[in-house]
Parts: sequence; C-alpha cells; structure tokens
Amino acid sequence: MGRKLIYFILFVGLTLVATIGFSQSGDGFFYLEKYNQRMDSIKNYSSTFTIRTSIKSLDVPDVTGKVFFKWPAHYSIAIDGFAVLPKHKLTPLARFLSRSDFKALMISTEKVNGRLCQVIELSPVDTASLIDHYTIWVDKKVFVVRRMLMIEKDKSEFMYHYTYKTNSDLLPVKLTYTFEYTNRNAGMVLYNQLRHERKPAEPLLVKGNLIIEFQYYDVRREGDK
Amino acid sequence: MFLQETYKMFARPYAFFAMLVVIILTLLFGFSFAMEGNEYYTSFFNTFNKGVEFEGNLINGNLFAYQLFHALWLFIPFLVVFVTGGMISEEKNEGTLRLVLSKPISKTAFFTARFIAAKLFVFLLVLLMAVLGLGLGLAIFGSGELLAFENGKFIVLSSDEVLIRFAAAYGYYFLVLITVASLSMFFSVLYNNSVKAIMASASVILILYFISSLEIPFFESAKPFLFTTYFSSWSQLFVENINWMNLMFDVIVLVVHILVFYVLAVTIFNKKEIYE
Repeated sequence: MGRKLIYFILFVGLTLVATIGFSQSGDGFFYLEKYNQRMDSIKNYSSTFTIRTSIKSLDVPDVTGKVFFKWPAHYSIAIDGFAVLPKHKLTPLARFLSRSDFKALMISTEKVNGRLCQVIELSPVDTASLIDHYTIWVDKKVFVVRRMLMIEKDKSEFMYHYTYKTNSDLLPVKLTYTFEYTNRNAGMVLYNQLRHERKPAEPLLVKGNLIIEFQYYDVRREGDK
Repeated sequence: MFLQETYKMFARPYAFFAMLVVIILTLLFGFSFAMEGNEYYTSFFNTFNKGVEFEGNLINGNLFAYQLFHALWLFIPFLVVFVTGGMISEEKNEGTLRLVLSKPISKTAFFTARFIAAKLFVFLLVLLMAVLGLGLGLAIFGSGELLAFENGKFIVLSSDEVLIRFAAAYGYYFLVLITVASLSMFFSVLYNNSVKAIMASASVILILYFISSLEIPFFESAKPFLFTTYFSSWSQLFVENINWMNLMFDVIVLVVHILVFYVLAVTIFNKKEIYE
C-alpha cells in the first residue's frame, strides 16, 4: 500500500513537472503567432513620422519622413535629407522571428504601460549567431508587442518600446529606441586631408535613443473595400 | 588714390600667383576628395553603425567645402604675407617711394590707400576660396546636410542653415586674413627690404601660433593676447549651438589688433625719412 502511494505521488509529480516544463517552452511562440495573425489583418498604410535623436557624440537635427507599408512585408521609407534610424529601420522586428530559428521560453508576466504582458525569451537555435537572446513583452489580452529587448553576445543592448493610442491598437504612435554598446574597434578620426590624424582604436561606449512619432493615414485592413 | 594703389596692387604678379596657388590647391584637394572623401564618412559610420542605420548621403559639396576650409585655413595667411609684405618695402627698395611721396599727398593718405588695396586683395582671395569651395563643391558633389566634427563631436547640420554658417565663417576668416595683412604691412614699413619684411611677418605668425597651440600652463595667461589664438575660431560656427558672445569677443580682439598694427604702421611711416 505504502509503495503504491509513493509510485502514485511520483507519477503525479513528474506529470506536473513535465506539463509545466513543456508548457513553458511550447507556448512561448503562441503569443507571437497571435500577434502576427493580428498584424496580417493590416494590408497597407501610409504614415508620416518625426525622429528626435539623442546620441552621445552625435548631434542630428529632428527629421520628418514617410513610410509606406504593403502586406506582407514591404516597407519603404522616404526622407528628405539625412536621418538616423533604429536597427532594422522601421520594420517591426518581432514579425520576423520564426519558430524554426528560435527556442522560446516563457519567463514571467509584467506590466508595461499599465497592461499585463507575457514576457518571452527567444534564444537562437544557431549557436554561431551574434544574438544572445530576445526578450519580448506581448500583451496577454490583445496580443500586441509592447516592448522588445535584443541582447547580443558582446552585451550590447537594443530596446524597442512601443506606445499605442488605445490598448488594442496594432500600429504604434510612438517608438522609443534606446541602445548601448561598446565599440571595441572604433577609432574617432580627426580627418584633415593634409594632416591625417587618428586616435588609436580604443573601446568607445556608444549610447543614445531615438524617439519616433507616427501619424497614420490610408490604413486598409482585411475586409475593407 | 585708392584706385591707383589698387591698380598697382594687381599690376604686380604676386597677387595673381597667390590666387593661382589657391586654385591649384583646391583642384588637388578636389581630386583627393573625389578619391578618398568616403574615408571621413567611413570613420563616422563605423562608430555608430552597430546601433543605428543611416538614411541619406553626407558626401556632398558642403562636406567638400568644409574639408577644404580645414585643409587650407592655416596656409592662406602665408600667401597673404608674401603678397602684402612687400607693399611698402619693395617700393622703398626700388627707389620709387620717394617719387610717389613727392606728390601733394600725405603719407597717411598714401599708406591708408595701400592698406585698403591690401584688404581688397584679401577680400578677393576669400571670395575665391568660397567660390571654389562651395561653388565647385556644390556643382560637382551636390548639396545636402553637412557632417562636421568639432569639439570632439560629430554634428549633422541641415542644408538650410549651412550656407549661412559658411558665409559667417568666410566673413570671420576674412577678418583673420586682414589681421595678417595688417601685421605684414607694419613690417613692410619697418624694413627697407621685402624679404626681411616677409620673413619677419611669417616668423611672428609661426611663433605666436605655436605658442597658441601649446597646451602648457605657462603660456595660458599669454594666449588671450595673441591674435593667433583666434585664428581657428571660424570652426565654432559649425557647432550645434554657436556661442555668439565668445565669437563677438574674438572679432573685437582681431579688430583691435588690426587697428593697433595700422596705427603703429602709420605712425612709423610718418616719422621715417625716405632716403632712397
């Protein structure tokens, strides 16, 4: 009787552990795939945007431009002049992270801008990748990516923080992009055509942020005429 | 009187040689820029391209003009010295000064007319720099934002305001070259020999600029009084927030030096007897 009880407890315990373990890894992509399904409902849009740049050692004036999107993944940007853009420009990076390339782990739940989000960590399957992992905050109710953090193996950090007009909006009205990394091969060149001066290459801490505000028009969704 | 002295100024070949040198240097620089202009941009790109992406091209005529300015600004004063250093001493040496001063004109009027003619030459030289730098640069490489590097920072200046900044920078540099011309005319009055006058002017500029550049506490108290300390202030017109108060102070210092050199030169010229 005692032995049967022990076996029963062990069986229940192992089942519980297996369920929790598998659910942690297996459902990680559930939220991202729901987000992608929602994003697929937008067939095209146009947007004007303004970029405010704040980067150490670089002064850039505010810039305005336009972005055009056509489903499934065609983004084109038009800017009059010179602009600094986030990595991957204005494409939503979370849209392009696929199950076959990443292992997903559900970490915890956290609130972002007052909204409860599932925190998911994605690690690349390819161990030679420069990326260490992504951490993505997906709204648990409306499946919208509210924040995304990319960390590379050299500890460089790149954060995308999306702000929306309403809780269920898919298109952000503001993207705050912050980054910090140490450029180990940078050498600031004081360039003079007749007197080349180079500082020896030394590690350079580069940090800054871009705040991009969007205004959308001509948004066509699935089912619209 | 002024027209006559201006005619004499440009009748001598030196003024045209100086302008020819500027043209040759600009063309050589233009060739170099066309071949290697990307290198300047590459160092900027390599510093930031890990965290951000860039849209637009910064290799343009404004960058060319800016780089040209940086390349030439220290050499042009010596061209000015070579041309203006002999304006009085050469005529003394040739014996024609006594002939000129035998006319019913005061020495002050004569010197002032020469002084103004020298300023006209400097104005034309700066205008040539601007036309070649900006004009040629914009015509060949097009317009756009300017990528400047000042005070240890990269600065991107919008194309709308860049032309105004260049105009102010060339204006300030004009004042720098007038200071140099005033100094060399002062030495031209002191010496009877053009070579001595030119050597003295060039030596003074070299020594004072060397002191202005040294980062030694011993010389710090002397630097504000040296006109060479203010030679490179034109570059402060390419920072994001221009400190106009500092620039005004620099302009006043240069103007004071011009007046001092002029007054000293006129005083000595009036007192000196012309024997040859």
